[in-house]
Formats: sequence, C-alpha cells, structure tokens
Amino acid sequence: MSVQAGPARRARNSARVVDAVMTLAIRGSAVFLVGMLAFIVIRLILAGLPELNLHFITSPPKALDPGGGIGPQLFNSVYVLVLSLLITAPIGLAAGVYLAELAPDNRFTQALSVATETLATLPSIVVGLFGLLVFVELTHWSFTRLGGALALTVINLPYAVRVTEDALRALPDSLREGSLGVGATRWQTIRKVLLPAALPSLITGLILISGRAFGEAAALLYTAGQAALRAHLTLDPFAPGETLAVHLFSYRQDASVPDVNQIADGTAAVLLIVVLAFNVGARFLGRVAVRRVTGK
Amino acid sequence: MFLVVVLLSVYVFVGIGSLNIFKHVSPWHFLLVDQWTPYASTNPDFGAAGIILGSLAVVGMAILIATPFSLGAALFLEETNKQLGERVLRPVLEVFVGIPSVVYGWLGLTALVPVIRGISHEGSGQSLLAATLVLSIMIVPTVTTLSADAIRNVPTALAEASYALGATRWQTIWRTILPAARAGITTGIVLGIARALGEALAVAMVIGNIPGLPTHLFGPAATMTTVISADLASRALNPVLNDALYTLGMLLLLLSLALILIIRYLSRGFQAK
Amino acid sequence: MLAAVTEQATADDTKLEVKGLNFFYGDFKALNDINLVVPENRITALIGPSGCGKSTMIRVFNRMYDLVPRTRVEGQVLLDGEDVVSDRTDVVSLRQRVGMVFQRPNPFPMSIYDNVAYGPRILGQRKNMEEVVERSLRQAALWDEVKDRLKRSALGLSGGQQQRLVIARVLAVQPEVILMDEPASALDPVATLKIEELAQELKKDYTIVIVTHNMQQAARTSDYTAFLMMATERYGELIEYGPTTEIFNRPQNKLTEDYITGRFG
Repeated sequence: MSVQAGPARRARNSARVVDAVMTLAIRGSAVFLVGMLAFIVIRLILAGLPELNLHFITSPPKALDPGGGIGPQLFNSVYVLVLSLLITAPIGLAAGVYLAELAPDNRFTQALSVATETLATLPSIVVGLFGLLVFVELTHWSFTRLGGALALTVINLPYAVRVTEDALRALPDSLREGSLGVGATRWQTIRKVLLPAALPSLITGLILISGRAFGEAAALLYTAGQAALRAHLTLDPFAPGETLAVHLFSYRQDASVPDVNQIADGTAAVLLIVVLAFNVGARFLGRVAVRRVTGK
Repeated sequence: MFLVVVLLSVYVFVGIGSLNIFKHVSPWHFLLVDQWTPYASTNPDFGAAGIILGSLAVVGMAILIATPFSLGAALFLEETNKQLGERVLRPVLEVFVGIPSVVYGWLGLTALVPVIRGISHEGSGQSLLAATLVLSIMIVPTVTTLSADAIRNVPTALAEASYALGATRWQTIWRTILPAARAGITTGIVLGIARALGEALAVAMVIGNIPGLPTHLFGPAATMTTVISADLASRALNPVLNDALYTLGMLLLLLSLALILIIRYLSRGFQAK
Repeated sequence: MLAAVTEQATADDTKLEVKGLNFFYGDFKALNDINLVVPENRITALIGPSGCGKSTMIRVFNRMYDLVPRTRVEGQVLLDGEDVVSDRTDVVSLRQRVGMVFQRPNPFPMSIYDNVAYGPRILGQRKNMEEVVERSLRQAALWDEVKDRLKRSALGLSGGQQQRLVIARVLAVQPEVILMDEPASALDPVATLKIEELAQELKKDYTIVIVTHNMQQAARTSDYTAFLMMATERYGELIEYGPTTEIFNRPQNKLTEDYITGRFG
C-alpha cells in the first residue's frame, strides 16, 4: 500500500521522536515544579529554623539591639484574622444561603452573583487603597486593627459566599425533600438539616480562607499599619497593629538592628509553617467531611 | 440581611471607583510621559508611562514563562501521568497557592536577587528579571489548574478518534485536545495575567522600585503596584502624590475589570458553540 | 463451551486470525479462548447479546484497549500473519492499517475538509491533499452532499452524514481493514441503510469487521458471522462462527439457534 512507503515511514518516525521529546518535556515541567516547591519549603524552613524558639515567638522586636522577636506581630495577625472572620462569616453565610437556597432566579440575583465574583478579583493592593481611604481617613480612625479586619473582610467575603454556596449546592436534593416533606419550613430546613450537613465543607472552606488571610499583607499595610514597637498586647480594636506578613515586608527596609535578615528569615518560616498547617488541616478535614457524607 | 450583602458589595465597588477619581495631572501626560518625580521640589511631575510599561512588561514576560510550564503540568495531570499527578502534583500546586506573597518576595530577595547580581555584575540584583521570575512561579498554579480542567473536559471520543487514525499521543494532544481545550486554557491565562497584574508586595521586594522605562532586564524598574506600596507612605506630605497614586490604583482596577470582562466574554463565546 | 470454528471457505484469503485470545481488565477476564478467522475483502459480523464482549473483541484488532489502564491480552492476533498484540508491535502503524468507526459519530470540531485531511497530515502527507479529500469523500458516498461546503464545520452535518464523514476520515489514510462498532445504532433507518450499502461497496477494497446487535442487519449485510455469548463465568466466548447463510439457516449450536430465533438476547 502506498502509505507504507518511504515518506510516510519517515514522517511516522519523526512523529514518534517528537512524541518522545514532548512527553519528556511534559514530565520535565512537572518534575521541575515539584522540585521547586521542595526547594522553596526546605530553604525557607532551614533558614528560619535557628530563629524559631519560644523567645522569638513571644517577645517584641527591638529597636537597635539584636535578639528581638515577633510576638506582637504574631498576636496581631491572629487578632486581625479572628476579628475579620467574626464579620465575614455571618455575612458570607447569610449571603451564601440566600444565593443557594432562597434567591429567585431573576436579574437582581444574577447581578448579585456577578458583583460577588467581581469582588473576588480585586487586587489586594487596591483593596488596601480603598481601605486607607475609607477605614483610615474617612472615619478618622487612623491605622487600626479594625480597619485591617474590615479590609480583610472585603477580600474574604466573596470567597466565604462562594464556599457557602458551593457547600449547599453540593447537598443532594433528597435532604431538602425529606425535610420539607415532613412539614418543615424552608428556614427550619436550612437551619436544622442543610447547614449541619454542610458543616464539614463549610469549616474546610473557612480554614482555607483563614490561611489565605493570614498571609495577606498588601491590604493591611496601610490599614492596620506598621506600628512595630507596640509591646503591649491589647485587645483594643482601634489600636494599630502590624501583622506578621506586613512585618516581613517592611522590616528589612525600615529596621536598623544587626540581625535583620535572621529575623526576617524567622518571620518567613513562621508564616510558611502556619499557612502550611492551615492547608494540611483543611485537607485532612476535607477527607473527614467526605467520609461523613458518604460513609455514614 | 440580604440587603446588607447587596449594599456592601455594590457600595464597595462604587466606592472604590468614585473615590479614586482625584485630580489628574492631565490624563495624557499621566499616561504617556515617563517622568515620575514626585519628590522634586521645584517641578514635581507625574508622568507614569514608565511605571505602566513596567507593569505590562513584568506581567507579559511572566505569563510567557509560566504558560509552557503550566501546560506541561496540566498535561502531566490529565494525559501522561494521571495517577502520579493526582497524588503528587496536585497537592504541590495547592501548597504553591497557599504560600503568602510576601514569602515569595522574601525568597526572591534572599535567593534570586543575589544570583542575578552575580550574573549581571551590576547593581543590587533587584531587577525586572527578578520580578518576572517571581511572578511566573506565583501564577503557574492558577494557569495549571484551569488548563487541567479544560483538558479534562474534552470528550474522550475525540481523542479516541485521533488515536484510531494512527496518531501518536503528542499528535493527539497538539492537534485535537489542546485546540478543543482552547477556551479554558485561555481563561486560565487571562486569570494568571490578572493575578500577576495585581501582585504588589512580592514584586516590590525584588524589583528595586525605580520608575523608568523598563528597558534593562537586569536593571531595577517599577510597576503600578510597587509604586503604590512604596509611595503611599509619603502621601500625607504630598497631597498631589496621593491623588496620583489613587489614579494608579484606579487604572489597576480598570485593567482587572477589563480582564474579567474578557474572561466572561470568552466563556460565553465558547459556550455558544 | 466449545468454540465451533466451521471450515473456512477455501476461496477466501485470511486477513486477520485470532488464536487463543484471552482478554483481561485487571483481574477480570472478559474474553475466553477466542479462535477466529477474518477473511479478506469480506464483511464479518460479530453478534451476540449485550455484555458478551463484542466491543472488547473488536477493539483488540487495533489495540484501542491500550487507552484503558490495566488491560492485558494473552494469545495472538495476526494481521497478514504478524502478531499485533505483542509488545513489539508498532501500534501507531497498526492503527493506520486497521481503521475504526465508532458507535457515535465523533467528527473533530473542525471543517469537513480538515476532518478528512487529519489522518494524512499526521502521516506527513502534504501533497495532493485536495485529491485525497475528494477521493475519500467519494468513497464514503458523501462527496456530492458536501462538496460545496468543505470548509464549513463538520458539526453542522446530520448524524448519518457525520458517520459517513468519519468513514471518509478513516479511508483517507488508506487502511486495509475497517472496524465498525455498531456504526448505525445512533442513526435513523434511512441513514442506517446508507451505511450498510456503503459497507457492501467498501468490501471490494477493504476487509470489514462489524459489531452489531441488530441480527437482521447482520443477516443481510455480512458474509461471515461470529456469535459470541457470555458464559456463566462472566467472560465472553465464541459459540459459533461461519458463513452467514449457514449460521442463520443451519446453526450448529443450540445456543446460536436460540439467539437467532429470538428466544433470548
């Protein structure tokens, strides 16, 4: 048959060579990426390891001498995160429930969906700009942790809404039918059946959001501020509070202590470890959630 | 309760928009002239061309570098090594996404910048190149996951048809699967661009933040986001600078919005087929 | 159960021969000890109740099972005397020589022209593409219907036309064998008839193996018929095989007779 002849065989052979080369390239990129991550994680942890001790985590930074810590910054990170979650969670939950269960299928709902989605795509520095304008200047609060928390809320809210929506939509209709079938109202159904069933997914989503928020710096830079020397661990939401991530960004440029680099290394390592912990935690919970929903 | 949500979302949006339109220093001048000297005491100028080009250059190069790796990874996940990919590559990608941007910046500063300094023998190593490389790594997971999804959604019947005609795997990938996944892959790329455009602190830590036309790969430069992060601190002393920075912010916002609209338009266009 | 392989009509040459074929999905045996001969330039039909392994069987001929993980084959399948299920087989070449038409038409989302040209382009043939496309479309009895819209998308064609396009696509690489896995099951009766007539035309130049669940179709179209069935052990076995007229008029095995007369399946 003519197709078996010379040119065809040559073409087929070159196609085979190309196939082998490209397969190698594909595998190579995957290996490269995995290797890169390994490098990143190992390097960061190794560099920061010498710094990681109780003293570092609890004491305040020093102005001129070596041996400072990141205590207040760590506290601030947690504080701002919790404050922000307190605001984001209820609103996000409510909105998610609304969109998934109660909203009629009209233009208004569509607009809401679109608005939420678009909100999710704002660059964080722009949110920071907005936060500066509204939560710092307009309100005359100056830099506050509350302002930072509110800015974080702007960033996190769309994700919270989406997480809730997805978690609820993933639930089978049979649950709704079962509850409504025995005469429960929609509200009761939502409260007593759907939300508890979606709880594992909701918590997983919450943890992921928290992980993201913990590492957020651009939006907090000019809202929660860069006050680094406040040694007192207050609970005042109107106090300024530099968070860990912001600290990493500005410390090296501003500080004048001799061990700047080591401190920054330690800060980076702590950030990485916390975020990884969140990530792993969420994943683990996710698996538990799946088991609960399918197995039980 | 719902109204609160509505109000919040819309308000935030409009809020950012309107409050950012401050006094311009003549729009054309702003956009086209490269002369960013806000601190000059005699004749401070706000030509942001260099800064804008800086953003575009860094983002453009980053996406060019990231895309091949992302496609490779996506094909690894979906075509060549599915089981291994799911167990190893996917968790790796998730961790990549979770790393805070300042940590990427710090890493770039401590690991990448000295290397660049060594290679180029000039300056501090904080450069366009450093920013490009850091951004590339940051957007790879985004582009990869979206591309992988798009590839997975290509009907197997198409690939079967190609194989049955005697195509090699690469031929099938290149001629059938990738074209069919075009929409999702493009969405991933545009999303990657949007993410890169909005990244501020990581870039700021490695780019040197010296506004000017981005001509020199090994030399420092500035992007819209880095200028905002750096100069915002001096806004109290220089109200005009403040306004200029907000205008940059507005520009960023408009660009992201435009990219998002492009994505929506694309996904609708391809669904209509 | 014994596989009754009737004596081959000695006038027909053997194109494909299956010897002692066992097929496995992982640990699950799907086909047991299949022995079969496919004559050249004839239409051989594989019939049997659903689940008996006909589709699995036909996919052995062009190694399409390679696309499914954990599949394994024992035995031999010879194309012109050469084993095609061994590790040393060049699968890519094999698939050019043994083409396949699927149950649901699967044209590429490209123009009609590009669909037909796909195969030759893969083989590196660039010259005379227009002639190749026209010839293939004529052979598939589709040329007249599409000659004025070659550049338009293939997805705009009707189901029957799409299936003929798929056939043209296969013909463009000049195969020796054409495998058809229930090619008309997704089509209306008129389109089905066209495909059957086409097969009759094509057998002059090609060897055709067709899987069908439609007995009447097998009876009126094919020259040889192989009847498969699922044994109690849940693997598929060849019950009887021979010239179509023999199978349908004088079946030698009771199971064959029962199936043909509609007592089950």
